[in-house]
Formats: sequence, structure tokens, C-alpha cells
Amino acid sequence: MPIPEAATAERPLPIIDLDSEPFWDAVRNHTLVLQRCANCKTYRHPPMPMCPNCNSFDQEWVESAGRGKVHSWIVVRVPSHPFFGQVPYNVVLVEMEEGPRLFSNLLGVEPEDIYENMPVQVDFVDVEDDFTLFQFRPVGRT
Amino acid sequence: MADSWSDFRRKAAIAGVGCTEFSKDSGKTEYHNALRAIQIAADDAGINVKDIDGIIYHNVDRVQEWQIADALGLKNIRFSFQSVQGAGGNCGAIGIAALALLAGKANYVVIYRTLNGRSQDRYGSARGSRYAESSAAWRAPFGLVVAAHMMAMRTRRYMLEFGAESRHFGAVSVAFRKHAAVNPEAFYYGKPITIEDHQSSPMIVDPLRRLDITPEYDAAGAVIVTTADRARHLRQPPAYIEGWAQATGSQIDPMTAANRERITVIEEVQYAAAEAYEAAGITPKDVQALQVYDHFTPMVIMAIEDMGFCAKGEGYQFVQDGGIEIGGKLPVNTHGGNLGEGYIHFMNHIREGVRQIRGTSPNQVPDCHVSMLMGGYGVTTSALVLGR
Repeated sequence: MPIPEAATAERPLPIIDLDSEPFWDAVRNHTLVLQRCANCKTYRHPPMPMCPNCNSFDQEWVESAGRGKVHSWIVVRVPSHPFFGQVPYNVVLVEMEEGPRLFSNLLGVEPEDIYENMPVQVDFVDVEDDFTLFQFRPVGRT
Repeated sequence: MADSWSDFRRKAAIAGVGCTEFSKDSGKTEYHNALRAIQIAADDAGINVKDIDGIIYHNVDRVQEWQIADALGLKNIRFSFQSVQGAGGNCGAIGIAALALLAGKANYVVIYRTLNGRSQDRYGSARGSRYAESSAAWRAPFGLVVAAHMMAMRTRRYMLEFGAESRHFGAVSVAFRKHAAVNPEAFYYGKPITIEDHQSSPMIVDPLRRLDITPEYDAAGAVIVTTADRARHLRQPPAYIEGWAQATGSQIDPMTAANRERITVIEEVQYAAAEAYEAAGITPKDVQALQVYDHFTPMVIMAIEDMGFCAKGEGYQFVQDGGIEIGGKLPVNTHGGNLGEGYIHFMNHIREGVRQIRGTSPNQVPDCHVSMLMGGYGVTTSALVLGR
């Protein structure tokens, strides 16, 4: 017997915990911050309690310049989730100037116009009353 | 005190293997199918299911070790443990079983995996879950929701770095469907495909086409491991455990490895393969048959590279022109793999690795005495070398 579908057509939202709260709070305020080790100054993502480089628990949140380039991307053509039923849509892996790579979507571009190392700039979309998502746009096309 | 696996080499063996039929709707519970697979494996080994005194179950399985023990009527499970990450942990679980057996902690250990993966719990579709936790929290809100999406992302990067194209991936699909076509237990028995079929199959998540992606099935699989001394007196020729290894790799972030230095390098495969070769005292050149996890065709290519069968970036050429077909440079997934035989988190790949040692594969490698297995990757993975 099939497991009952949750049957929600709502966007999956992150479960925010103490490790990720500063990140999402900043996004809510239309700011992108990245987690950095306060000891060895190595950036990391996703946020985690310890620096993988020096194993320090000391951390700081640094406002990102919001600039990056497309490291890889996909174009979903057959839906796998009720919310993401409008195809095609893209998901990009953006490598930020600061180093970390983030998954996101690239707005204002056709799938066939995405290319390797395409320069992109962060943008923010208030997708729900109390939730903001960080997105990207090609540089110069905000 | 033993301080290396080589002291244990060939002292434990796989004595029995079993899988239920691969179907789109088994019409049975996962519990039922697990018991059936265990019964088939026990019959294959020539033991009574009541001889089982050790159980390893999977951390993603809904059917737990006590349910198996209760239904089999076992009075005492002396050894029980968990395998990790579905298709990743199976080979390691067999290695752990060997250690338990050689320490006298059990006589017969069963490892099983059961999943109604088509009729019940489809891994190819996210069931509209509203909240995403852990690593999913950083991708699901953007629509990166299933494994195919994650591996498509790594595939695109591979294409950018090395110049591979979709048609190159098709060779993997063609090879495994060719193997499945002569395997009566395969879902796609008698149904080979051509590269044209692959190229005309729809793009599901660009750059992956339908024929790059493992179908979903209902099935269960089981493996019986025992000591070499016991195995020699059982029904089948033992498939000796020559070596094994388990590994993760850096920043694994299942299954994206998004913040690994290179997302096109399957570090966990590199580590597991290298350690398994050393444990078995072999090199890649010695491997006569390889069963490798094939959730997505481009990942097979990357895994073959990272196991050292060719240089990084050359795998998509290696698989062309029958390179991984029976009779080719390296026969891979001689049962047909996920793509051709069926999908039950690597248990059927293990069955096939054992068959190569027994000489009973539908695509038998002549005189096969080094049979290698490389489990599911992108997660904690494990490798196994079987010998005759």
C-alpha cells in the first residue's frame, strides 16, 4: 500500500536550528552572510558547529559581497515534487567569491543561456510571509 | 594480536545469496519480502534459517532485526548491528560480519535489505514534504529534491571539466541492458537497448535522460556470511572474503559533495577501493569482474576512474566500444545492474559478484577468481573483493 502523500504543494522550507539561524535571519533581512572560523578565518558552508580546517568552535558571520559564478547547474524537465511542478526550472551551484558553494536558482535567464563561470549576484525573494529565499541573477541584470 | 586485515583474508566467506523477484508491485509487505529473501539465501547456502545467529540490518530499512528474529523463531541473536546508508554500507556490513564471525560472536550472519521502492516508497520523487532538515535544508527549498538532481549537478560539472556528452553516458546503459537481456532474473530480460534508444529517451533532469537513471522496484535481498571452515561444508562453493573497506571522503554532504574541492571526484570510492585492493593484496589489473553501484550512468564512469581502472577524465572513453561489456576490458555489472536487473540497494550486485566466483553468472567471466564489488557512493560507501 502506498505511503500516504503529504500532498502539499508548498515550498519545502529549511528546518532552522541554532547552527543555521544567523544565516536565515540575515537572509530575512536581505543580507547574505557566510560562516567563517574566527580562529583560522576559513569560510565554510553549510553552517556547522566546528571548523573543518582547525576544529575551532569559534565562529563569525561575515556579510558576503553576494558575488559568485556558476560552478554547475541542472535543468529539471520532469517534476519530482508537487511544489516544483512548473518545468523547466534550473538549480545552480554558485561558487561565491569568498569560497563556499551554495545551491540556489538563477532568475531571469533561459536554461540554455546558463554557462560555466557565469558571473552572478545574489538577490532576495520573500517567497512566504515569514520566509525569504536567497536567489541569484546574472550580473548586470537585476 | 592481528593488526591488519591480511590475517583474516579468506577466513570468512559468503555462503548464500538471495533476492526476491524484481517487480513494480510485489503485492507483499517489505517484512514478507525480507523473510523470503533470507529464506532463499539460507536455501542457497544449504542451512536452516534457524541456524542464523547474527543479523545486520540497514539504517534506512523499515524492517528491523527483532522482526526478522521473531518471524524466524530465533531464540537468541548473538550478534546484531546496523549497515549504513543503504547501498553504501552493504560491503562493509559483510566485512563487519566477517570480523564478528572470526571473533566467535556468531556462526551465520545474515545481511538483508528490503524495499517496496516502486509501489510504496519511491526514492525518485519527494513526497511533498514541507520541511527539509540537515543537508536537504540547503537544497530542497530551491527544488533540488531527489538523488537524480544531485547527481545531475555533478554530471554537468564532469561534462564541463572533461568534455563528456550525453551519448557517452549511453554506453553504460547499453552495456548493462545487454547483460540484463540474457539474465532470466533481470527485469529487462530479453530487452536490450541501443544508443539511439538512449539518445531519444526524454531528458528528466538535464543532463540526465530517463535511460541514465535507475528505475524503481519492489524487492528484497539477503546474504549469508559464515566462517570459511563452515562454508566449505555447505551447498555452494564459498566466495571467500579477500578484502573489504569502508570510506566516506571529505565534505560528503550526501549526495552532493557541493563543498568538496572537486565534486567530480568520488573520494569515498577512491579510499574504499584503494584500501580494499590492499586488504586483498591485489591491484586494479587483477580485477576480472566488477559490480559497481549504478544509480546514474555518469557516476559509474566517475567510479571506474576513481577505482583506478583508467585516469580521471578518461572513463567516458573507457566505457565506449564495449569496454565494460562481457568480453571487454573490464566486464561491469554482468547481471545488468540497477539499470537492467533491478534495484535493491546493491544486494543483487553482491549476488552477482558471488555468482562470478561460483561460475554461474548469466555473463560469466571465464575462470573468474577476483570478483570486485563497489557499493553505493555519494554517501558512506564500501568495497569488497571476493575470491575463489
